[in-house]
Amino acid sequence: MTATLKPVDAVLVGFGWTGAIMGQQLCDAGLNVVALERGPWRDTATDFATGFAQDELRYMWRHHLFQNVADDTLTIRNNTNQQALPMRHLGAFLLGTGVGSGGVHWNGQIWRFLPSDFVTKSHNQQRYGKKAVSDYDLSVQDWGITYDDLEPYYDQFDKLCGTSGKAGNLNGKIQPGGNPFEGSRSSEYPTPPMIQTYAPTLFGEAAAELGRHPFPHPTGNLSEAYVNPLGAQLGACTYCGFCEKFGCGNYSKASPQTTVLPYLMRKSNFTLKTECEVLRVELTADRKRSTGVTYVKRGRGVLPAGGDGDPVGLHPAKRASAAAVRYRQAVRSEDRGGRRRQELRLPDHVVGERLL
Amino acid sequence: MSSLDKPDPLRSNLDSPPPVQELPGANATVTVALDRRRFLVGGAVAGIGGIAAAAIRDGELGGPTQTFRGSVPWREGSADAPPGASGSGYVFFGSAEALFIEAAVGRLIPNDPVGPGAVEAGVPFFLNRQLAGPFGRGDHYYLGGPWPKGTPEQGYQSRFSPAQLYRAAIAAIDKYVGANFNGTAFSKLTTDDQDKVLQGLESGEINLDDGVDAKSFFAMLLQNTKEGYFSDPIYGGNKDMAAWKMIGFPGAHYDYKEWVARHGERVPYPAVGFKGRPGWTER
Repeated sequence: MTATLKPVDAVLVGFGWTGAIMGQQLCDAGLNVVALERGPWRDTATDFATGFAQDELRYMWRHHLFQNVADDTLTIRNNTNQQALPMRHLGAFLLGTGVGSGGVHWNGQIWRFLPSDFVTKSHNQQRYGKKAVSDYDLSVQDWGITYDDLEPYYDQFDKLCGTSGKAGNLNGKIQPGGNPFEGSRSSEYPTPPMIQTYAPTLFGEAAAELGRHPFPHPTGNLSEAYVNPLGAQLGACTYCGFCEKFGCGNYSKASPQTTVLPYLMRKSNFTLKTECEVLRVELTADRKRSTGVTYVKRGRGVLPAGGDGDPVGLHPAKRASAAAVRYRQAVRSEDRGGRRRQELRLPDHVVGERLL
Repeated sequence: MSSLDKPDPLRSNLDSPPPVQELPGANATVTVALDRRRFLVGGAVAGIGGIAAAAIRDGELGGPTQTFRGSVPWREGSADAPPGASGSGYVFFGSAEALFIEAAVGRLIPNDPVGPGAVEAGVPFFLNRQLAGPFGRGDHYYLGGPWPKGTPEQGYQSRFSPAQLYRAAIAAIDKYVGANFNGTAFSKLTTDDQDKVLQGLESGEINLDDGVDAKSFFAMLLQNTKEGYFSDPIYGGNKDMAAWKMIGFPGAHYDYKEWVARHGERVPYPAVGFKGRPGWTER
């Protein structure tokens, strides 16, 4: 039985980095926002505290923070002549789940795309000739937006995270010690680079001797304490070494938990529902506008009957936004890639072209 | 009203169904962040459904749907602490299986002057607890069909959970060894012959009966052996943190700031686990 819930202005599908940032922006604009997250609530002190965060067995090998393929998996094949078989155990790629999602267990490497990345097609045609793209039937395209369009938002994200690094190109001027090949930055990194450990120090010295341009890579693991524009406070990294695949117990790694949630969760116009998995985005008859989402409660406890207690809910909203990870969007998106879909012999409405 | 003003539903009334914290209305106050583990255990104790009992999932999916509004949910004493291992002796392996495991992991990591062997580090105990628990049940494996053999790139394609695989593989290996070594058990072979059998499993040259893929089993056994050898001692292996001491790893140490720039120097900290180290006073 599907219960139709009280309409809101916006509903977010998934509550990782994208959902948290969109939630904050939309709530600050005065909208009533509901975020639906498939996994559980997670926070630093309760779920990856310093007393047990450095647990290689639990987090790395038993996949404690990742999506559990026992509940939901993908099938994989390397070419169209193979039978696609279930991924029975996580391996090469690790899907996030739960509040904060991949933003909890990421490595905190905060790179920007290069200006040329936004114009992949025209850039490569300019360099290598038109045929370089057309002769090989490559599906590369220009994005339609440029680095300069995005720079203010990159800058905003760096300030949200407190990114540690050294600018190599500040307002068009090349800076010593930074990456001279990067796009122009409107401001220096909020915090200085991390201290270099032994291996990258040796690598940097060797590269510099060869006339290369080594630089400390930008990190969301902070070199010093930082308070971001939302008032969230991050601590200096202690170099414990447990970053990727682990949650940071020290509030040193930028994540939704350390940068956005202390602010967003207190907003009266924001609601988070956990253990709720969105099945589809509902559309108007002309399929041009979203009207809400239908979701199922994953919680396996005892649910009260009636109203919001029904296992399936329809959440009406003026706009629905998919903040889920890319492959999740793909299976939920309208497939526009007819030709590629036929080549791969995929059924309709499965994979959005170029998303996978 | 803050979350702390609410009565603790676990302590106050174990006989009623656990309330799913859903409050109506846009301006309702915050709801309580319940500890998932204790919440579910409470449900099972009260006998309100095998659903809740079966859903204990190590702090992952399967908790109750919850609604949060108005504050960052937090409650004292609700940490999702690691499960660890306790007790002694084998609860999963039968006696013949235990003999195989002790012999096999003793060849994968032999005891020598460099450091302890897998047996001395407690790996058989670790494996036994892991296989008796969520890992053994395939808690993080998709175990449904289809089951064609698949390519090596498609990874693990057995229909067995890890516990089932160990059980079936050990029996199949015993059968193979019995047929090829005059009825001897694996544990009674010379170490040279044990190595030959293990190498045959690793390469897939030995074909096992009863639907057991030898390479898959060897890969899992080796991986789990390394896990037990190097993981925190709370899981039953890495006895006395000897594997960490061997490689100079300080363990679950918290702060290395003052050592980061002291390149090439040995960090002098003694190894420490989640439960501390010898010399610490347990409280």
